[in-house]
Amino acid sequence: MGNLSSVTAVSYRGLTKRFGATLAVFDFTLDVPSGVFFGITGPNGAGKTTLLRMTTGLLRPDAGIVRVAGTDVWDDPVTAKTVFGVVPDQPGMFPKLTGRQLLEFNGLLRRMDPAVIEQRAAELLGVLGLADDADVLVADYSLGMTKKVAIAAALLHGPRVVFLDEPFAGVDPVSRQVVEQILRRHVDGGGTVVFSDHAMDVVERLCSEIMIIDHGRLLAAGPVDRITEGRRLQDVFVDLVGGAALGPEGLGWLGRSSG
Amino acid sequence: MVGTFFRLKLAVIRNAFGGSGTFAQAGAVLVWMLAVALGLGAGALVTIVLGAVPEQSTVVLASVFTAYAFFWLLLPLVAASFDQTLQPRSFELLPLSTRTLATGLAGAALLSPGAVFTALSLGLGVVVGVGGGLAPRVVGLAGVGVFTVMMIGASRLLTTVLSDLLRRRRTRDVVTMVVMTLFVLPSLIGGFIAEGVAGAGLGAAGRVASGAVEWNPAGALGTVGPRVAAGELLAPSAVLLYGAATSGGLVVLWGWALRRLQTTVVSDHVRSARGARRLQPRWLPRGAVGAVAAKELVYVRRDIRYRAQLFGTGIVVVGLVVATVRGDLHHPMAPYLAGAAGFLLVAPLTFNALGFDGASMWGYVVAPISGRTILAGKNIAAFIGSAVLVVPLAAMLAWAAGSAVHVPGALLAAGGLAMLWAGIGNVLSVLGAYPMPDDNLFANRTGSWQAAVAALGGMIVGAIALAPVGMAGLLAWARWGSAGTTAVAVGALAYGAVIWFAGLVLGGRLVDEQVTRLVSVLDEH
Repeated sequence: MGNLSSVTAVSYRGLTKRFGATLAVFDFTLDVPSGVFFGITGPNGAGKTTLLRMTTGLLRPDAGIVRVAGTDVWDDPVTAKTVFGVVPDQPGMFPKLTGRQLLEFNGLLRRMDPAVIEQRAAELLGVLGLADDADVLVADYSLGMTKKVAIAAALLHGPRVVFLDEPFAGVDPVSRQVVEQILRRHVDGGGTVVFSDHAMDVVERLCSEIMIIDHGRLLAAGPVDRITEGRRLQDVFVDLVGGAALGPEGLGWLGRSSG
Repeated sequence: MVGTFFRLKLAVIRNAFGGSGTFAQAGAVLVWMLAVALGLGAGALVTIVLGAVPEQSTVVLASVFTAYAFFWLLLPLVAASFDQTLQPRSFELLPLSTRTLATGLAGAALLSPGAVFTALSLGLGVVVGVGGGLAPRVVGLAGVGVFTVMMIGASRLLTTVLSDLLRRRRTRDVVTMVVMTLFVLPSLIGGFIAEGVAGAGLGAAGRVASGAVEWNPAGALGTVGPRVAAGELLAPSAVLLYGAATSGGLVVLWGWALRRLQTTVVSDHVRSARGARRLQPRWLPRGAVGAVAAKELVYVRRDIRYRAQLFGTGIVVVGLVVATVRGDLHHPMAPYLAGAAGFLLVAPLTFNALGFDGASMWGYVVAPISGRTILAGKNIAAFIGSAVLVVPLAAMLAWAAGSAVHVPGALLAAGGLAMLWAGIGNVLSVLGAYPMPDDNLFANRTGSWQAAVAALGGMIVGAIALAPVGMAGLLAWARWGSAGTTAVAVGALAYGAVIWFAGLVLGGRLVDEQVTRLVSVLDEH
């Protein structure tokens, strides 16, 4: 994991973040290759969102380096941000813009040509099933529609790397399939998708490479086949992070009390 | 249950003194010190006035209570206030009745700087300024207590009902105009009464004024102490009972309004016309700055948080129009008042520029743009809004005053003032950033004591920066008339431009440096 190469999409070197006494991410070093569907998984509070936020310029690390497509995110943020797109876990979009205006706004912030913005926005809105609601305020979108328009906004400028934090939460199965297809097409075209999710079946099905983190530390990383070695990812995950079983006598009061 | 809410608020205040950074701690200390110091100062002032005219103590206290009531209702609408208010939303899922929730929150609100200031100043005035032994003082203090609860209930009810009405497209513009006019009304009535008094001596008009002050629900509570001192018992008791019932009623009504606000989703249902769906008009600069400005202009129209912040501007504009119609503005310098209205529009838009759409801050941060670009776009939108307001207003005032010669100077000065404040606001927007509420539009937000320090600092810096230009303008007017003020206004524009650019550079740099804190602070949903 030492030297950076031209095929590295994201590169972490000694990345560390503390929140007071809590170590959110510790001495994180890893290369994510280009052109892969890369999954980040781990239990709640493992540091997935913290890692993604530090990667996308939303949270300043205490130490270490993050490079996206070779550019240091914290040394040269403006250049780095031209090559990636982001969908946070709870995308608080600009709710008083319509879906179409939101995409136009995102394109203009990235200094795209208005004609290109219009053409791409129409395509993305159509593919994501938002064409009929393109002129409705984002505030009036459902959670799934908000996620979809956030994905459209992240893809509009044709980024080389797309970061998504739990992109399928709240998205209906039909839309999920469409989103998966779009992201696959992005990867097939040479782009990289980095996303975090709890759902092991989704991660296993979509990703060619994954990492498992817990308590801010990297437990495993690499191709899925190599990590699972023929077992289910769910079982490997529980083995790595440890599981907690509920004994027969535990929480026996549940369901018996209303007070 | 009220005790539980009270203790909760106490814990919130204690935590603010003890944690969350030096700046926030300093803010908490400053706000409470100011509340206590100003409360004691105002109380001393009331005492001095009462001592000077002891025979008029009933009217004096009634007037003071009435004035306080006016400010309790007006201030939350036109100015940010700073209090770590318990957020009603936090209690939504608890099994609390509407009445319990409202009385609990009202009880907790007694531990706010505004309530402490009110209770301290009026309490001091009543205890020291009202003679006649212990009984009048005790009854007077009871009046202060009831008044404070009444004001909490009334101001919360007003802001909550307004928040609800203003969310609704069909009513919000009408409601806005009605409320603004209502706040201008007292000055109008005061004007008529003053004219009556001047014309007919202290006859009927004076009695009307005195009666209005003494027998409005707020003013009447101020009279209970002096009335007991004068030997009355029935009237003060009735006033206290009436006040307590009114206070309780207001708190309960507030509870209902709050429930309605929290449990009703109102959608704008805006569906842009197909032909006019472009975000960025052609007359705005191309690129990211123009995009941000275009988005801001859309938001000023659509986002009720922006419109709510412009209440103060609206009240001043309505006041200026009313004064013009009444023929009160004959002074040749009247067009310069347009600059004040423009300032009141620019100030709220630039004071906490990043807080309006705080939850969307990440959208700016992940885009390849600098902090300076964000602030510049927001500033341009504020300048455009200011120009739309100031130009016709200056023309109207010039027409009323017959001093068209002052219009160029007034416009230049308004531009300079707007830029000066935007420059300071660019720095304030980072140092004192706080998320604007999107449901209870006039509510305060947790953590805003840090913003209080920044706001106070900004106002002091602004006043210092403004003083030399203002003095130069007055001196030039006295010496050379309109030519002098216009010349100073040209300088004021240049001066404002320099401060704006410096603020833009510094504020932009601060945005870039403090991006993590900003995203975290502004996304408190």
